[in-house]
Amino acid sequence: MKAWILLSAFNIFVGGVAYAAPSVDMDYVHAVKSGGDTTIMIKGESIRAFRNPATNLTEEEIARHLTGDALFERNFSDDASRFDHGLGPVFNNTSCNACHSKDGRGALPVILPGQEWVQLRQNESIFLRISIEDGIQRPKTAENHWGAPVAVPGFSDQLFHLGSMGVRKDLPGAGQAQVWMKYEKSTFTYPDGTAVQLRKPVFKITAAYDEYFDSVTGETKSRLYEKDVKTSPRMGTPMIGLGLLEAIKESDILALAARDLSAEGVKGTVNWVFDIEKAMANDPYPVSMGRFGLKNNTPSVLHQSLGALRGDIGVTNYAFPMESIFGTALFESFVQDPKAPAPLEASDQVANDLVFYSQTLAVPSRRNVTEAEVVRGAQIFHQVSCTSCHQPSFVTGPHKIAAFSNQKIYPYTDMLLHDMGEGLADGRQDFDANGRQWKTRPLWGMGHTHTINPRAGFLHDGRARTVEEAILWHGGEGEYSKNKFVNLPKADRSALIQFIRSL
Amino acid sequence: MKALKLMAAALAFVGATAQAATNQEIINHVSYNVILATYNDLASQAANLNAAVNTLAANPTEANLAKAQDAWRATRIPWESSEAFLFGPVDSLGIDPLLDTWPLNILDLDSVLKSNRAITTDFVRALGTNLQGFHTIEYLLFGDGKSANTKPASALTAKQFEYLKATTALLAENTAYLANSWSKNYDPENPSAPGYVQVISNPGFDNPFYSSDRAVMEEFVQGMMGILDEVANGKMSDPMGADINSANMALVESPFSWNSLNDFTNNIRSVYSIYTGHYRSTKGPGVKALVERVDAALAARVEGEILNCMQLIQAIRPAGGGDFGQAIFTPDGRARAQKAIDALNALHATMENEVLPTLDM
Repeated sequence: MKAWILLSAFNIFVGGVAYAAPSVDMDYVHAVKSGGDTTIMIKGESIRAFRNPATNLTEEEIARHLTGDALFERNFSDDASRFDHGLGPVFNNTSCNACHSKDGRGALPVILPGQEWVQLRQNESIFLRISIEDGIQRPKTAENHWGAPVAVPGFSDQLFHLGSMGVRKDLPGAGQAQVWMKYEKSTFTYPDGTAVQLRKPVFKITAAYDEYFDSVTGETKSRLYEKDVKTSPRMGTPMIGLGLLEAIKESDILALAARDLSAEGVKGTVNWVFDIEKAMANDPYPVSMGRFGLKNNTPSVLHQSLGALRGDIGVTNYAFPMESIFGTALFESFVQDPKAPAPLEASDQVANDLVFYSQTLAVPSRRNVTEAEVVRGAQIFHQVSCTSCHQPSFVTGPHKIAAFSNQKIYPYTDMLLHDMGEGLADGRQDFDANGRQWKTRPLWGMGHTHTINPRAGFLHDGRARTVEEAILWHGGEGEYSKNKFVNLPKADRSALIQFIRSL
Repeated sequence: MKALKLMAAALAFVGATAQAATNQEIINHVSYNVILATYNDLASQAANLNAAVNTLAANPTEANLAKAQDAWRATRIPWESSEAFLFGPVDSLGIDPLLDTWPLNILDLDSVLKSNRAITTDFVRALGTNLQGFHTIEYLLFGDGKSANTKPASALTAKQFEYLKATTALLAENTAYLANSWSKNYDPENPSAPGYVQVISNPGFDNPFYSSDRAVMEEFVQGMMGILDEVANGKMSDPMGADINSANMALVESPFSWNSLNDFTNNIRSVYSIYTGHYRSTKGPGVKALVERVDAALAARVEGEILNCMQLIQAIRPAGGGDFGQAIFTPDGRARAQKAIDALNALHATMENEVLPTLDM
């Protein structure tokens, strides 16, 4: 092994507490079992690579996982007489699987030749987050939902482009508004002259339900079209290994946040976010470390999954019992008695089985680890400091699913927020995450992405069609490593990508 | 260069008779003569269905309704016979949900049909996936399927004809798009992208999806395993419930036309096609040829198990009429269904434990 195994463990003090900063353990170069004992051993390639339960679950747990699997694929219906009732009244899709296709990454809608804009319909794996932004960060209190984004009045913190029949009398099937997408294209040229086409999706919103024509100004207006409304796209992400990420010790993440990587311009931070489980337990300060969501804006798989069940599909559940658009004019025009308490749409069993499923999808094993180019690529990965944020390994702490406890795992994420520069910025605050910060994406399983979904896109809005494009979009705290990468000889760039494809 | 290699492989197969087929011959045959052929059939049957519906709308006779119903069943065959290979554009272009989302949203469909709105293809396109595709057409052509699987032509309203014309036109458009993605261009945003058939039949280092012929073979085997599991433990087990009292008609696929057992059989026929290389009148090497190189007895046994599963599924059909949706409400029918499920699960285990390992021998 190389001599440049550095970053030895040293002690850092955060708020008077000593944390041992994890060093970058170079065993990742040869490690095969990315998810420890939970790993599913996969030799080849197939679209089913992300569809397996963790291998060390008990028989009972596997049965529960399979129950959740069927629910994950369920198409919810807005027909109250049906068993699968609960969809809507507004939503972004009709099943979990529709955005997390085969438990993998989503893709942007197809823009056919000759088209400029494409309308988001059903069957897309992307939606827009929305909020009102004044740029001021306030202390977390119950009044501001513990630092949550401020919902757009009359809307929510998510834009629902689909609706049950009858929600929009003028536009059957539409939700709060229609959303359209097109690309801005650009070219990146390496110092060696190689050029790469990049694309970035941009969105426009039309036909908002509160839209009106202002004859004084001659403009079409909606609260949604006001300047203080910030939008940010979100693409469906892979479902593998989430229980393991949940089991990473908080102290290990805090230690990574406390490292001094100023020489590389890197400074990871924690997002402290609203925790629905603490709130349900009447904790007076229901705030926890954020771990999930593209800005780390949820603390647990339960919070993330049940929030998505209510948000993305409109299925209310014990953690999120009110429809997302409760209290808005659109809701009140649709339901007969908007103030009446509505029964929960997902039973507690359905909700919990979905959470369990989301926690227990296996991470596939690495492949081709002994190939010379992959080994070289793994070393270059460290040389150009990718490992500063894409922290290769952790040993997990205790988890209520015993299979996830005390596992040596290789997720390649520090679980922290980083300023990723202007190119990726959405300008939208989300708890402590500012408009330029994103969570380091885990890299495990990356090599299977395009087998599972040939059009899958990387980054928060799916703009990057390849690992290379994703690297080239890195700015801000990623600038240092990106610059090192672009100045590598082409063969070394290729080796690094081959390493990532081995994950 | 690639084209030459491909031609050489195709020619080599013509010459190969008794000799064992190579991996490349198997991959070529399955990709072109099974998968691509199935999608081409699907597109042409869907165009026929659209034409039959237009004829029915212009002249709503019982005979024309029967022809449209036959055309629906005929379109269903290649689609259900494609379910062992739900990889590639059918998924990446989001086509599967547009064709075959079930259950249908009858509540919303009825509300659209009651409205005064003009129903066009673009109108239906903007509606949910559970308001278009096979099962919407099925409901309109066959009725609710509760006591019978057909309805008189006189029961079809002008509004239903409008909806049928729009949604069958969309089905034809989407299936043509799918066939084109396999034959000519798998990514419409990149005009230089070839048909997916060329991608999957040319695995290798530069192939972004399949780095080796082993990977493609695994995709074939995993595809077969996927639909075996789906039929046994989803399509059949979910509506059956834990016992006769929890059986649920609302979970049955194709309940209006009473076509479920044919659907399931064709799902397993797609396993047979990938495995043997036989599709309609075409014969050629499939995955079986690969297994044969390692274990001839296993290769033959698996083929027998596949055929047995298809027979056991057909045997579920109630003697007094009806389909899967009726069978699951009788103890006899449930016992026959359970036998089929057990055989499907056993075949799945054979694929996983015995066929998959042959890829590494």
